[in-house]
Amino acid sequence: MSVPSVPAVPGVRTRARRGSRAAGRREQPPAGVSRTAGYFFVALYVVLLLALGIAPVVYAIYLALSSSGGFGANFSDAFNDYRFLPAFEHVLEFIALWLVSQTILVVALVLMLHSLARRVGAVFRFLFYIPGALAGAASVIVWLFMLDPTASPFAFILHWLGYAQFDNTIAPGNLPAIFAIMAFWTGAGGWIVVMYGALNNIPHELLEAAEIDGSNAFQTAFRIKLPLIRKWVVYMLVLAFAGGTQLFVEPTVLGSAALGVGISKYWSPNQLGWFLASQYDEFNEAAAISIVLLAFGLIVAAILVWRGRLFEVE
Amino acid sequence: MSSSIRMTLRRTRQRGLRSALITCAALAIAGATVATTGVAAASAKASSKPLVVWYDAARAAFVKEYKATHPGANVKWVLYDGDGNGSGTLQSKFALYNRVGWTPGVAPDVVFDEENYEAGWLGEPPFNDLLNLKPYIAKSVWSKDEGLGDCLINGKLLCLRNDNAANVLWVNTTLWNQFFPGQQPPTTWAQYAADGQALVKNHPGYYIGEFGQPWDAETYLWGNECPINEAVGNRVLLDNPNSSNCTTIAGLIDSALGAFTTNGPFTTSWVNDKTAQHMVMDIGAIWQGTAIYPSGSSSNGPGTNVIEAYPPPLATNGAHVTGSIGGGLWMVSSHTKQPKAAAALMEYMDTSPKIQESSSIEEGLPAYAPDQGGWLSSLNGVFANPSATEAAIKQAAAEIWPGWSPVPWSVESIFGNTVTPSLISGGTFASALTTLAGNIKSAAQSAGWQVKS
Repeated sequence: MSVPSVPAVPGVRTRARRGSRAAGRREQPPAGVSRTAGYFFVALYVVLLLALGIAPVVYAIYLALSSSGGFGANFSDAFNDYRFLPAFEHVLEFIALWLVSQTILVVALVLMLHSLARRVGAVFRFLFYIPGALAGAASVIVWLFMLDPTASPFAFILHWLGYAQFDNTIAPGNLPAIFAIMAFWTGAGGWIVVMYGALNNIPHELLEAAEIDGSNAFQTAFRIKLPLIRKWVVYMLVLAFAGGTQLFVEPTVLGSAALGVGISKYWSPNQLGWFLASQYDEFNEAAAISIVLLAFGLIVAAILVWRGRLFEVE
Repeated sequence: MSSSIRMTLRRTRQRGLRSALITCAALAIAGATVATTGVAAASAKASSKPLVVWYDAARAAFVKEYKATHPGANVKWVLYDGDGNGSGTLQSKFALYNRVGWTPGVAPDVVFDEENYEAGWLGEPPFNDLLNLKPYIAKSVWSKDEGLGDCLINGKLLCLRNDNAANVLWVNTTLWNQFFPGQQPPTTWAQYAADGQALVKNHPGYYIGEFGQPWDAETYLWGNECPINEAVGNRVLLDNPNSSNCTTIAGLIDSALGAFTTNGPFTTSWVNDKTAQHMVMDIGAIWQGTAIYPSGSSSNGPGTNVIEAYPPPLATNGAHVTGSIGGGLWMVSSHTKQPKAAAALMEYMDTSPKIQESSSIEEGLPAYAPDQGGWLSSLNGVFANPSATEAAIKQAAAEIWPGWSPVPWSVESIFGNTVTPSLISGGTFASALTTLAGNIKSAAQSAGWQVKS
């Protein structure tokens, strides 16, 4: 799996407008039609969720727990695999770099954009979003060129850093940072659009009141706007963490482009799962690693939801 | 807006936000990849099904020739990546077929594999997917295949070797005569390293070889009888990096490290830097002569007409041995319903003079000895000093050290992930040897092998 793509922009602004219009006119669609349409749309999603989300998870749990070696044997095989810990170390290092940089930069950029004049802000928002329009593997291909000192348009930077060849750039110690840059480049623009939508949802009266009370742009950004989009930041962290632990496309494509130099086929846990299943017919152990990743994502999501009071109704 | 309406809106918004968050989080987390099932079962009679043959792009000329001489043959040809560079395609497809069933007419009956060690991977547990060919191919035929150490595994014949990929010493005669006038190219590793040191001193920017590519274990360690990948019993590996055969060669390479390019022959750096034109010599497989030295090709080389093959250097223990890089395999699935037809097809591909004696169809020296003379004479005019080149190729072809075994892990991959990064960060081959052997040991134990040192 690639790092997570960003969901559709929450049309909070549009919804707020429509809401106020509806409230003004007191128009309500007939309850039956509304309910049927609701069930229809939800059903489409539920079918796909069951087929492509729940069923594979159930099958993975079944595979992970079925073993001739006794209950839990697949998990102990996975934990004892010499590639298991390094894979998790790699991915945690990547996540630490990526989440911190993405959170700080996305929030900073979106707050700056929101305080700019509307037209300028829209142009920058669009520019930030463009890289995100590239699908996972395609964006990695772009980076293959960017990172190759013999082909990159930014070769002078790579040479300045002392990298003469592609193999130098993708030295093992550089990989977490490289994947973090790739993930930021493809994902940040989408999140900026999402956060921008969230910022637009802040009542204008509130910002006006702050201004009248003498709040400067900086204070407004950090004391009014930021607390109001906190839930979206937490939401970004939940998705980014789950997607980050499942890192797959980037190291796989980079590894095959490097012709086997520097990046192993089991750099990340998700790759290790694939490697064990496809190269050694060890589907059960691979499933156990998938379940570990799932549990990892769920636990961190639960902590973030709880600590970030994500679902709390004020 | 009244406070009650605002409250209602806020609740609606909260509910919307909440359901959106739950939905998106569930989607992202539940995306853990797990392959699911398919349906096997073939009801039709197997004999009516076509023979399915998987081949790689370099074997397209073989297929064309087969079609011309076998009109009406019921064969389904499937082009795939040949498992090149250890891509793992065959392992992943075989693993899936083992789960969903080997449907005749869909799953492959005959496979060409570019990786010379993979019969020991796909023909052994947990795969067990290769047919023992002994009942289907006459011994008088298969015994004439060279390099069968990669196919004869635990008493079974699991493949035929397509080409003999023994390593020779390729020398650029023009550069050699310019830099080493009156001197003969090296016949020992010590001379080879000494020439490298002289080159670093007198002609920096010119090379005696490349070092750092994944297959270099097969050049320098295999070529000096280094026992770190030697099967010495059923699923028993000898992995001893402390053997003098390993440490001596590593020390010699280190002594001339500046005379090796780290550019790989299939990289953009190789082409951009015109590396092939700076190789005074290089130890490489027979097929590399025509693959990386032609001028005006994508390799940007000096032209094969200035390149001559010499016998590989003697091992530091005095043995006449060499390593081997690549050299493809023909294999038959143990699940085939048409073993005789499948074996007949692979035998034709592997031995037919129409295919194997033509250097325009077969790029490497045919493994099937009776075809070698024809192939070598079809090379006339390609290399400098054709008769000496032919003699060197023939000599090397018979000297592949059998102690480097086909195993169910990729030494190339391990080498590329350990030795190369170590060299890039300024380390030496000798210092990386222990890590390399340690990782081979881990891979072997993980595959259920016992490891001795």
